[in-house]
Amino acid sequence: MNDPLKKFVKQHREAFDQLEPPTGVLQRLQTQLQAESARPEPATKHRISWGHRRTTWLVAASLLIGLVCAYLLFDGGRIPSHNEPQIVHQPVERAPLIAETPVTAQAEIPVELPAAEPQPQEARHTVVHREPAPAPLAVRLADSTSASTRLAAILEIEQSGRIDGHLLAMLSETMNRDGNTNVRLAALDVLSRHIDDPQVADLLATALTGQDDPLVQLGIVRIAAQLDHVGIDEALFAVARSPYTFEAVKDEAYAVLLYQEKL
Amino acid sequence: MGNPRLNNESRKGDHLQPTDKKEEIELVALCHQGHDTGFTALYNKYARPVYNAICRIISHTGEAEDILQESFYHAFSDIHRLQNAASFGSWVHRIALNRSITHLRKRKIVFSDNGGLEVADEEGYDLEADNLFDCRVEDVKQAIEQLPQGYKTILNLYLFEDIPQEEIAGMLGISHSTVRTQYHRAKKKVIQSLKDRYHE
Repeated sequence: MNDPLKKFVKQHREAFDQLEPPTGVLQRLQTQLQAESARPEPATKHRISWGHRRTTWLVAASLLIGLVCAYLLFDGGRIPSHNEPQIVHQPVERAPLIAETPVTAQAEIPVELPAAEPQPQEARHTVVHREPAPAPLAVRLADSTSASTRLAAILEIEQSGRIDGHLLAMLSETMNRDGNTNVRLAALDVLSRHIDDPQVADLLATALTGQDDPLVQLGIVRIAAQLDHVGIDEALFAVARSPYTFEAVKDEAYAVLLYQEKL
Repeated sequence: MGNPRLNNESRKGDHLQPTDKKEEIELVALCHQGHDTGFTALYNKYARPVYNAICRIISHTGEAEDILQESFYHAFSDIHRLQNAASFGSWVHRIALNRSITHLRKRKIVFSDNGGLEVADEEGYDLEADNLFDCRVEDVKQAIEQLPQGYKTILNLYLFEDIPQEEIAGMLGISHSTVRTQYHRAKKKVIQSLKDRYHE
């Protein structure tokens, strides 16, 4: 190595380190380190025990997850109870009541009909027992404040498995007039289960042209495909030719008619 | 920041005698336990070489003092990251050097890169140069001190800290050829300065 400078430095290495470090530095360093260790989580120990800290966090996280799971498992029934599961439970208990007094229920509750005298007592009765026994179906179907109540009523009708002219009229009314598409679709769904009933076919035929919700109208068209009913065919033609019909509904109506070779 | 795994770590660690190594491992263990004696002993052992290394790069002693304190503080704070307890000295040394370089950068000192365009001024020292080094350490120190900051940093890192030129290039963010060129130029300047001094 032809580097006289490097050689010289190597030979006199010690002599180059002649400066003494300032005396106050150690003291300041100690103060700094002590201040650090005096903190709740001292930097040195804190970092040394990083592994432990991470474990602690992992334990805490798993505990939290466990708690959430436990809450969902044991209390989960109550959470959805505000929405659907409650709907499932209620019909089982109350279906007989409705079945026993279908006429009174029809006559007393609807707002459109003049309220019959003897029933207000029952109505009051239901108000008194609002928590254990909810209001009759008609009232709940007409409850404009809560779509979930209306849905619950529809589900109750569905689960009861019984259907009569009045219930069909209520469902048809709901399907055509309800402000919520989901409620309308639920009513349509219930109606579609009684598709063999000629009254239902008539209702669907009427609803097909009068329906102002394209989604529901589309649903009716699809159900209409399974029906062999003169009124339905006419309604399908009317829907298909109407300039106001939603394009998708129109296409579906044409498709049904084409499929049935009625075009 | 200082990396516990240094390339020159083992090299410097090898200089330690087995007893020194054992002692250093024990001191580091004391630091792990938070004992003040460990910190104090390690500081007393390494403060001087570290301080001198800082002062060779940062001429200002007040700033060098701050960097010394910061370097030891960070070394002690992050001592759990030190994987080879016997190489604490190299570690704190490297922390100090890195901090010094960062400090220079803050002072807007740029280590210019030649981009490999300049050819290294290789060797070619006259024979007279060898004789010049019969001079005193103080003269060499002064000659180095008079170098421009960039040259001085490279020369100090290479000569005193024994860091390979490739590694210096990495530390300063310049190319290896630039380091080599600047080192040779710095060396020439030092020799010239010593010549002038002796010919006066």
